[in-house]
Amino acid sequence: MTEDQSAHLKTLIACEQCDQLQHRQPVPDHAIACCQHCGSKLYSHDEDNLTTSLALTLTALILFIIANTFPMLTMNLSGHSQQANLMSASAALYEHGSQALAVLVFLTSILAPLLELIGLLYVLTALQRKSDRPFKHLSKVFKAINYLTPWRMVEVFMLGILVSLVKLADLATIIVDSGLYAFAALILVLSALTSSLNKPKIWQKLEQHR
Amino acid sequence: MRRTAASEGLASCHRCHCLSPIAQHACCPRCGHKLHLRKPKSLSRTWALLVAASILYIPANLLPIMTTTSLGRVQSDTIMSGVIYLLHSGMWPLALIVFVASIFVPVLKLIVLSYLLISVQRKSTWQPKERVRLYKITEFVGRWSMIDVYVVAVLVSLVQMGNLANIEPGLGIVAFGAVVVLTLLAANSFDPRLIWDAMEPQADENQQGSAYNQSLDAQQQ
Repeated sequence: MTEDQSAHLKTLIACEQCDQLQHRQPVPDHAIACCQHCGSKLYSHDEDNLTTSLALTLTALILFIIANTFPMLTMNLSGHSQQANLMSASAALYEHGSQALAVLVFLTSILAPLLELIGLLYVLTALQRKSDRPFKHLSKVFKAINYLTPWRMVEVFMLGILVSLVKLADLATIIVDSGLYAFAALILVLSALTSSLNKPKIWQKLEQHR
Repeated sequence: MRRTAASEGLASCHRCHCLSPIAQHACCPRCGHKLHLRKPKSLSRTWALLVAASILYIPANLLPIMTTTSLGRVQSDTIMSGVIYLLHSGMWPLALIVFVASIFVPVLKLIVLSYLLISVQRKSTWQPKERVRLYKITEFVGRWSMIDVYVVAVLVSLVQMGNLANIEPGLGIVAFGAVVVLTLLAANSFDPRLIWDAMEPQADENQQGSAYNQSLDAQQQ
């Protein structure tokens, strides 16, 4: 591919929903570009907010560690008490004969968010420091992050915890512990991170630095 | 004929959405993902996952998702009885959420995806915009069906008090987890661009178009 050709290709974009080929145009702040054929979203304002994303990633990682080290719920029943957090939820399933389900819960509530955050931290720091290391493996890491995102389901887990709280309410006393507060904060930070993360921009940067 | 990336011989990478001429690149020059004009074997893959999910949907609803033993009293819960319990304890907003997430959404996904597949196979030209929107909705809501899996996980880990109270996971929840994962994969393997491809003029009218449509058909089969 000649230089000219690849430069021309960068000015084009194909709609993800209908494959319509169209020219990229700059959009004003807080605006989004829509497909001229089917009207679905193409891209939003091209903000360079890698620093914000980096800060949010770091916050999310810290909250994730707190949520996993402290208990989330404590149940008291006639003098007995039992604690639970993300890890014990998958471990309990594993011990009680649902190994496949335990793996699914572990993957969606612990492994996917953890790997995604670590990977994101790595990619964003490397871009921030503008280091001279080859960026070839960085794009591999970023690609892996894109695979993981749909399997991160911490917000669904939160709702699951709420439902279990209601189900246990007339059986025993439930104490909400610090881990759950950190987990709730984690969900807010993660959604802020999702909306601030400018994936096309990061792909562009990864390509430039190669 | 509409100017699509595929008609220009350009493939949009499924991972990073960068455009490259498919004749020159087998893999995306930016991220290294394998390039296709459309998701490969989209229709048959989605059908296979959908059929598997529909079969597992039956045990997921009939078998107990958990068994509670409290002071010698044994009680088995299915997905529906869990919703009814929430309703009886006066938490109707939560009952509604669980009903929508665990019963309504999986059925909706199975029906909507089957409908989209059939409409693509019959080369339907009816309301493509609305059908793409339908697809986007099913793709978005699918993950919320995992609620019941997490509820069982949390309850099993908390309620382990020997003879006082004990909760064990049932086979139903394993089947249900499989249904959720299979429908997520099915939604992921469907390519919404196929809906729009059916709107293009028939292949034999245009020589270039015919070559293009054939290559697309070959990829889907």
